[in-house]
Amino acid sequence: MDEAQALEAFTGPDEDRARTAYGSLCESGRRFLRAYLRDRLRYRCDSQELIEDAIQDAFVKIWRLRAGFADQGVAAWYAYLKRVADSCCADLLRGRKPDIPLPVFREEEAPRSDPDPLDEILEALMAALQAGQLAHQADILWLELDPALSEDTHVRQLLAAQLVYLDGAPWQEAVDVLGAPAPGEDPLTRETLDAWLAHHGVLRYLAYSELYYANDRLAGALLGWDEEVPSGALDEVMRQALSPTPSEVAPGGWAWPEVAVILWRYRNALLVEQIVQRSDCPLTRQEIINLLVRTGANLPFGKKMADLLAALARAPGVRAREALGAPGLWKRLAFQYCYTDDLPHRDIQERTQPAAERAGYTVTLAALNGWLSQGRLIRQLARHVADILEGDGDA
Amino acid sequence: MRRQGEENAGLSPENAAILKAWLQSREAPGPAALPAPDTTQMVHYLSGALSSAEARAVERGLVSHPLARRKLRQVRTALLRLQEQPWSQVLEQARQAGLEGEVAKEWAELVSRQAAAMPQARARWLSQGWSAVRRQAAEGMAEALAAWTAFCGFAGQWQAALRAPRMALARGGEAYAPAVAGDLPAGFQAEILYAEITNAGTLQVSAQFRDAAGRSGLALEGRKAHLALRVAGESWPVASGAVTGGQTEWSVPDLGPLLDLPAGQLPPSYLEIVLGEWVSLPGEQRQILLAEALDAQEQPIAAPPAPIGIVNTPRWEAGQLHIVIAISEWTRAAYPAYRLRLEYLVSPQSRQRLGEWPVADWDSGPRALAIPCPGSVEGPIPTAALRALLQAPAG
Repeated sequence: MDEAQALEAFTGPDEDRARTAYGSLCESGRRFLRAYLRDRLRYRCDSQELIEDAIQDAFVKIWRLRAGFADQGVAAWYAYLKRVADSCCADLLRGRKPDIPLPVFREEEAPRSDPDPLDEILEALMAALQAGQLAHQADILWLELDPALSEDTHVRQLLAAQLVYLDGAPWQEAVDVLGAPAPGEDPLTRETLDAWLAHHGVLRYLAYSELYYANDRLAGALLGWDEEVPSGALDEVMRQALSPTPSEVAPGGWAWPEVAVILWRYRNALLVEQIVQRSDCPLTRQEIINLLVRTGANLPFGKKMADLLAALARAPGVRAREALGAPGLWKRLAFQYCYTDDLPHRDIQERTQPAAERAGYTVTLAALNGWLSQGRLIRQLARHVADILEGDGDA
Repeated sequence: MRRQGEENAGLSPENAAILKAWLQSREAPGPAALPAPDTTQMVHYLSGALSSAEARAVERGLVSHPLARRKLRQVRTALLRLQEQPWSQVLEQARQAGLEGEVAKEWAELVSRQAAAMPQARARWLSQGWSAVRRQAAEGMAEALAAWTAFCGFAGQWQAALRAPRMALARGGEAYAPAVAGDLPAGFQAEILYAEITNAGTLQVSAQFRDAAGRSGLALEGRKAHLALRVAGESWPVASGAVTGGQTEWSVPDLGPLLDLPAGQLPPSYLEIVLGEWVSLPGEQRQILLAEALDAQEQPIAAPPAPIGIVNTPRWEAGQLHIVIAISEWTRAAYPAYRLRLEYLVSPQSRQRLGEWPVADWDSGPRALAIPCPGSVEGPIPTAALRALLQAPAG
């Protein structure tokens, strides 16, 4: 049953159905609360245990309060979940001694228009997710890909740009490689390829694919792997790093204790304080800070952008800085880092600004705050998706 | 959903936090990275032998894996080299170790499997028709891909015929009128009113039927009428319709881009109209291969294609292609130092060289050739699966 049906059953008179619905709501609600509380308690060192306890308490409370709960839709349900979890969290913290105060939301921070259309936004995002289109629509919106083309064609455009600009393939080779369409598809021509390669949206898509480093990819890159490393391989590296007698030489020229910290910092996105507080952390606070200065100098973003600009400079007529200096590219990256990798703003800035400045753009913390904390990007995306859906409906 | 003034509006921090957690709990918004394609997939992809869905999956893997793109280019180089070798050398190469051997093994298996389906290619085309074969081939059905390949081979010859000296191909009175077959009543005639490739690439043909007195063929009302492309006595149907008001109109979308034909009129003599049920005559085969002439650098030269006569029905037998070829005095005089090259079409995009012989080896009589060829098929092979070229001597 979907959430709307579950909410209806949860508040209904049939006890058995209500229990089934409750189970279903708990399942999706737990994932939601884990993400919410992880963000809310980001700066606490004992957050993991606290989160699980708060979720447990929240669902017990929700069942007990069932009689007084009114179904007001999916958006209201999530707002209710959040409020109950906040309350449970506060109760738990009152019984503990917080080492870092909880961040408090202040209403005046957010410029608001009318009451937030949370229902509309959730509805639009849900529809896009169900259609498997959210990421693609984010690409269209911020990278400004041609909205008339399919996602598959956008991938082919990206592949063409990678072959020509990054791998140095001559145009004829790119046409040959991509020009073997399945029956029923038009063959790729030189003219089409040229148009693809000059399109600013395609250039931004190329830059996005080069510059976006999910946590595993970034950790792997810092440990000296060129390609994306399978998650299992990084798990094994961490086991070695924490082993008193590692059987292999540490990767990337690092010492094993340094590898452990690199993985915590960049793979798990832990902050320095959280690393220091770990009982198995092999380095002191100062050693960690010194290490992160060195890793900071090795982050790939500035060089990636320099290489990309150099490659594009060799292509006649391509206005690379104009294309890559547009805000959309950086919004797309910020959106991905925030909503997929759950990075705090400072980390997002660390992964974007070194590349942005080479393209003539500046990613500030204030901008990230407006885009992310104040929900501007997510609202833009929801509006874009709703417009697309309305358009499809009209058609 | 769009409202004026909303463009930069934010959300309340509470709602922004709810949406963030909700999105993160849905593991949004990133498409799962696909694995890097292996050698088998690369060979099939480069050969145009994958279904649309499989080809798109390969492309998604390639955009995420730079090393796979590098390998793809190496596979392509190896494949191009193999396709230029005689078949016996391909088989020899397939026994070697290393990437080239691996590519040769995959290519040999692919070609052999495709060859097994080729003898039935024309029968499948006639029974299923243009749209169904095209769709099935896009879905990856081997038999349909063979039929589609044979049709594309035929279409290549049809296209070449448009550039060939009419004298070389015309028989009797067929030069300036459409061929008409089937159960057209005595005294009736068919006239092409127009036959053109539109700006959108659609083949549009309209024909009018009249009786001996010149009256509109209303007596044929409702009868089936098929449209075929025709060259040198061989026809491949592309559309079906019915006679209405003494006329029939056919429309074939995408034929222009498929055959690389510019918009404009087509000569009626390259079309055939079949009234009633389509009947394929046993052994109906084109007896001419139009050979494009290439310079020493293997680039096409600005000359009309030369007709090469095929005296028998080519057959696979015991791992050899048996074919009897005659080269006209005109061709021998025009290309005395050239070599005749025969290729086998594996897909619309890829072919395998079968052998090469000096034109000077021919005199006024035909020559019987036995050429090592792919697969272990026994039976006739459509002429449409063969391609002939005239290669200038090196230097």
